[in-house]
Amino acid sequence: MKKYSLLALFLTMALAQAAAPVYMAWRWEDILRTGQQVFWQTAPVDPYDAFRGRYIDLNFKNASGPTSGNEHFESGQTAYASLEIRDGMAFISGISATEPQGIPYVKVRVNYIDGRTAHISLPFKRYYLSEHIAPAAEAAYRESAGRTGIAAIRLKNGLAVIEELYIGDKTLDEYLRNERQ
Amino acid sequence: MMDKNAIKWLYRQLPELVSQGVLTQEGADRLKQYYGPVEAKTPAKTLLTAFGVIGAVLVGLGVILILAHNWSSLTRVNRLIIAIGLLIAAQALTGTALFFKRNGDGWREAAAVLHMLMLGASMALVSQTYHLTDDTDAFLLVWMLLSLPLIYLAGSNGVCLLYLTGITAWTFTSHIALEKQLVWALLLLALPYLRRQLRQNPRANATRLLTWTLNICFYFCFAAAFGPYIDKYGMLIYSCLFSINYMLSLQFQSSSDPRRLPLKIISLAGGAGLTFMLTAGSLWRGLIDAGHPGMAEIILVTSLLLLAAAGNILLLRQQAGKILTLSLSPLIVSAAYLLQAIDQSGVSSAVLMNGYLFALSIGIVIFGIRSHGIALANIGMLLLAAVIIARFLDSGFSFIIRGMVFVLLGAGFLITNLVMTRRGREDLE
Repeated sequence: MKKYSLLALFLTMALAQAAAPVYMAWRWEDILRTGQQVFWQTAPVDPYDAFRGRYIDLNFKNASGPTSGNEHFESGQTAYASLEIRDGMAFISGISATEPQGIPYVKVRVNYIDGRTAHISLPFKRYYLSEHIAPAAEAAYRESAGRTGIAAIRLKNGLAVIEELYIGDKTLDEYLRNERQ
Repeated sequence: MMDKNAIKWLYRQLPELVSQGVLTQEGADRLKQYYGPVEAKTPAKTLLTAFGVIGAVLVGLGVILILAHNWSSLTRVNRLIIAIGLLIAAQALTGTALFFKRNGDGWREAAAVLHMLMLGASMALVSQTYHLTDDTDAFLLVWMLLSLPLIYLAGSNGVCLLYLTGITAWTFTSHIALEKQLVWALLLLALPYLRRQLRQNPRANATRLLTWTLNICFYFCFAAAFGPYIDKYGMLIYSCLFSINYMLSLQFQSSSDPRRLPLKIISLAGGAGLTFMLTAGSLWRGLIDAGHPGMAEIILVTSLLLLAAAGNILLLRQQAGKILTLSLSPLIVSAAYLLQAIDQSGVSSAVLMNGYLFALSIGIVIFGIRSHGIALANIGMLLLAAVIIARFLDSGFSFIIRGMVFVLLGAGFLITNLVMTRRGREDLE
């Protein structure tokens, strides 16, 4: 292969590769800055499975919704959860195979169907932590999950990203700092 | 073209042949001129490349770990800059190796592998920054597609190996059965490179490793991509695949051709293992519970059977009528399925498969003895022992049936032994 052709191809490849993480960051940063903020109640976690070093596996209440009778869902299929927002808290009002219009929704994956109820997997399942605070965060989150633990989520065009974890009205970091004092 | 090791052996024999008067010195010189010089072996080359790759990977991972220690105190923008920076540094290293060290295979290989790993790391670091978890399949697909040009531009076997492994892993993480079929297009994209390596460097260690990896990955990809469609005829489908694999290995004419070995070993191991499983009556009885095959399964099994049949016909013509037992396994397995449809107890099918495996094992032992292949003979004996032990302990057959079969078989062995011993004595006389 001629040297200049090789150089041109190499530079094209390098640009495409660099564009991938840049595009990822741009997309999620845009959602964090301009997306709609909703809160989602956390659910109790299995203490042995939830903590794997530097992140927490999250579990959420309201992770299922009614389907319309006409649509058929398979396990692993992508679906869309329409949301109802009450006092800032998000609740799933329905699961559909197509993107809903005019209401907030999040892209999910169907786990299984139980009659007319679809149990889904939410896209925000993990929260990464500094290894220094992971042990304390583990204990704090386990106590609060299902009661006062809440996740702040940013939504835009069906995509969702975790903004922050709260225990009561404090962020996880603030809560842990208070506990240390 | 004579094998390099064979040429070296020949050159070592020449002085003795000349001293014994078997060859003249002139004849020996002409032989050396004809076969040409044998390159001095550079055992360091493969080792250097491997160490280079390992060293590059360790440096990359160490850098990531050091950054991870301070990760939480960095802003999102800082994290993005570091992630992109790692990737650009790796790209610069690959560019340097490509344009300024064109003959440095070790450098090029190490840089290319590090480049691919840093690409994945940069995407993973961004994912972690935004707590993203749900898109493992998308992550793998994008990573592999962006790494594909590196295989051709850098001519890297390491990247090709990682690519094959990566697309295989993607097939298992992908959730939608139809989407998994994309893996065949992904494999095809790497095929020109693999073909070039097989033609230009057939005896290189890297090429052998690529052939092994490609063959093994093919079976995993097949299982992941077609698994949802396969039910009742799964055993027949895999029997056809192993048979086709075996016939492909025979396209490399020389038995010492290193390209033949992975195909042959995988097809023998897979075919023998599958046949052994099919000797159990319980497996055939269990087919009663299998549902009706779907259209996809019917198309799959029909296409593979036709392919195996066509391959066998071609092979029979090439081999001038010599029957190759292993390649006929789909025919035997098909017959066993037909028997199962008639006799749902599974006994007839199991007896047929036991008879086939028995014949196959003996055939391998005899072939091994005749060709002085001790390893092959031992494999045949091992198969024979496995099927005898399995059937001895199989409570699916009654004591009387097992007893009678064992007596008949043992008698057969003893009679054969007697006949061969008498023939041996007659030949001596």
